[in-house]
Amino acid sequence: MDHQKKVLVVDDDRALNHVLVELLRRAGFGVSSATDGAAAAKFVEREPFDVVLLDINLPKMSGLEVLQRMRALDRTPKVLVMTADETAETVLRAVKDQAYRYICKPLKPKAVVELVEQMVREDEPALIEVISAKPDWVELLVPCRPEMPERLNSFLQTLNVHLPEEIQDSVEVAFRELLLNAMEWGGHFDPTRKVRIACIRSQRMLMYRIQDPGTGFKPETLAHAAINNAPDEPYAHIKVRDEQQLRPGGFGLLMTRVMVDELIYNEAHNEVIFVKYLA
Amino acid sequence: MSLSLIPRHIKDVLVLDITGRVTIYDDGLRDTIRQFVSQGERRIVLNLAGVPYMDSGGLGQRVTAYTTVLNAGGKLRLLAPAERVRHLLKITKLDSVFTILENEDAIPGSSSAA
Repeated sequence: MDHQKKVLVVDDDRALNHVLVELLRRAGFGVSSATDGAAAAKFVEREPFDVVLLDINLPKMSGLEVLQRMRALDRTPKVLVMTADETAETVLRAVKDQAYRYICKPLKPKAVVELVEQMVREDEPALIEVISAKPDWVELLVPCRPEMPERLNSFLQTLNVHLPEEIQDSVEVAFRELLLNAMEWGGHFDPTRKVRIACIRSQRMLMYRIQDPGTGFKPETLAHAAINNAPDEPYAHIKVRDEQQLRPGGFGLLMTRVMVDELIYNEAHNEVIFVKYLA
Repeated sequence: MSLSLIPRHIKDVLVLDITGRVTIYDDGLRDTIRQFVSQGERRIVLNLAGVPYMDSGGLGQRVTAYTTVLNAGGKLRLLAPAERVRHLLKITKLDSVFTILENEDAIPGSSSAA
């Protein structure tokens, strides 16, 4: 590590706190620890941290209050919320207060350390604009940055944890692939351009809408995508991608089309809706 | 979870144990395969038992690895993909491209392989 990255671990579960501190130290981080919200707030006001691991249910001050106070800091750390609280209200408040990632307990400490290593490699956190944070209507405006699909997925998937696993899996795949397409092809990963995302939940369906800042595309011209392969040549598009020096891939639309119940593009193909029925 | 690739041999077959989510952000496989092929490896098995999730980019990397080995006159097989990954292989019809081995005993040259 070029200069030692600083991490604050905030959890009142002393055993978990201790394990995380030790593993992070062994990974080369400078680590501080707090076991209540008030102590955590003092820490972050006193010194800058690169990453804060933040439990929500804390004595003296809740993790959400600590998160809110951190927004007023000159240099805001990336906050990984780690909690057993999967309620939509908590998840959405964490999004509103610019948490960086959300992870549900029980945790695998080694996986948390790997996630922290990944978080410090990523650029400074980009602002997620929250247009609507109702559990049945979440709408966000997000910059086109490569880390954003994984980051958003950690929040939105938490809203789906009570659904059958097959539905969670399908929605995760469809959302990640379509959002990645929107940011990579529509926004060229230009952080000054934004993608608008809406996730609408009714009793019988989930509907996601993704609107990208590009001019759209013509599906029949996508020789680099698997949707246009002949049935007996399932990877013919990979050769085209090699020739065009594109990264390996091109299966996203094909995967999404199979995994969701409805996939509808607007005429320009810069806005897409997918629907997954719940019954 | 970040991706790890650990090589080992079962006789003359190179087995790469892959652990972690395989996404567009982890394209180490392509370079790793090229390196092993340049060192003369021709029989390669990708052990996917530790891969819980794979995206379009991850599938693309497997196909690129497959064609790299095929073009060198070798063969690349997949070992023990999880149900979720197996489903992706099926819907993209890549299950007709890759030979999928259910367990290590099916690796050619292993003690129980025919």
